Amino acid sequence: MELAFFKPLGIDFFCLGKKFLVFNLVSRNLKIKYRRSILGLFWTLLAPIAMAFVYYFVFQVILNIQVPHYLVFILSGILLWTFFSQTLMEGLESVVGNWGLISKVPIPLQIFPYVGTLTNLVTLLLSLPIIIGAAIIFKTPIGASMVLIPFYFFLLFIMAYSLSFIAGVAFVYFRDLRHLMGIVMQLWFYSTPVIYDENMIPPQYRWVIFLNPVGHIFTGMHTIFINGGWPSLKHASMATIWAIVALYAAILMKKYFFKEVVERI
Amino acid sequence: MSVIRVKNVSKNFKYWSDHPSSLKTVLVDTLRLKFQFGKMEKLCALQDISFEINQGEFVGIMGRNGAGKSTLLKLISGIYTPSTGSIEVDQHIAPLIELGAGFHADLSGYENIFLNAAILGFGRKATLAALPEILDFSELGDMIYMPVKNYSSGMLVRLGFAIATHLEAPIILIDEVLAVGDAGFQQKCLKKIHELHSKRRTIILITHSPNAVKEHCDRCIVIDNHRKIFDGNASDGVNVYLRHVSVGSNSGTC
Repeated sequence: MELAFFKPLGIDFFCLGKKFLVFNLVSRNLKIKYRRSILGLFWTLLAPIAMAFVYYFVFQVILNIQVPHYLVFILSGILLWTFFSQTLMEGLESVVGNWGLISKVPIPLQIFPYVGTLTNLVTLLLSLPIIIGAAIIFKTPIGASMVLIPFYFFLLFIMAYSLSFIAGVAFVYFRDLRHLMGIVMQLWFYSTPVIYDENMIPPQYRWVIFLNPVGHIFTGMHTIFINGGWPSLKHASMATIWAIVALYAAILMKKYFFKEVVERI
Repeated sequence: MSVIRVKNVSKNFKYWSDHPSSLKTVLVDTLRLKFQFGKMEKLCALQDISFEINQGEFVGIMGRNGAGKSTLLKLISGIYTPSTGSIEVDQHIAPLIELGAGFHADLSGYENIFLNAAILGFGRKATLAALPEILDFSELGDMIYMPVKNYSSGMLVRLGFAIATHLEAPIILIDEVLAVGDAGFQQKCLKKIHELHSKRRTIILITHSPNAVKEHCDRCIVIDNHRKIFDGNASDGVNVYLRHVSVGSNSGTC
């Protein structure tokens, strides 16, 4: 019964019947992003890496933060966060921005945030060697828990896609979300353990992380890259639950708002 | 055998007058206990339209600006859903509401063929099968490997038309797209459409041109004031259309 309810919606939501279209749109995005210069990928990754070094300098060198292998810590955190925030910022305008196409061709709306998320995921996967390379250079303990990386990437992908879909549909109704989004992402960045470790937060504020939908993913990834250990079951399951909640919210939104959206833009 | 069945279809667009379109307004109004939804108004686009189109028919749809032709086309192609009534379409539709939908200026013509075909709902196999004919028909030669931003508008139209008509779509919807391109190319397009017609493809053409309907269509549907006022023989349809064009205008409601 549960499965029967999820299955047809899921196929639609993840555009599984439209692989050729998804492939062509993703390859279009990648070509446009990277073909203009040989160093295309380099430029895309330069900003988060530069950011990582700035944080490293401020927190490690100036403030002397007590986190082992802080450069690896910050590098993995920032690259993952860049994927997440960039996907959301682009997802916000993905539906309205493709209005020319949506009004002329029968095409499922969710394909635009979906393709955007996939494009950014490719960039994230291409930046993975940088994190692993840094982990090797700085000799962080590398453990068997690395097998969990795809699992966390998958959760982050679900999270980013679901939320950018919701943002994209909401933007159709509320055009001032553009201004709000920048502030929200800024606050979200600092309330997520990206540049600091979860254990550094005073206990009375831990609930912020607990309620943060992506916080557990970052804590889990940090554990894998810095300690080579296994993330705690509590973190892994909380991360999974949040991803399911976001996915379910997005699917519900699709179910109730979809037909109207086409006529609203 | 009918391939498109439109039964008692009406389409209303709902919109809110004075509806807050920003989150800020909603929040501020809620805090001041002044939140209102505004007034919902209905804009009627089509009223109680019914017809069937058989396989292999070449149907012209005519009507004045604002009569509801394009809404009808979008309903048939599945972009809009009808407010009441039902639309059944048995086969794959290639809607040519805009030639070259989704063309990206920075990609080459060759890359855009795949992109456009995918957007029109075709798969890899169908695209590859049609590729040689598309290249041939578009007459672009080596230009096909240049970014389409360097194309003239005529070249863009040729490529768009070539893609849309050479993919094996059983039903083709054409919305006023033949009005572009030079005379030679227009002739070529009409020839191509005739060829598709002789292959028993179903073609729906939306146009303002009486001559195009008289010369090419088997059947004509005239829409006026959001209702179907005529359905039948092409030359009679054109006469009905011409009579209606000269009087009055469409009202916003049904």
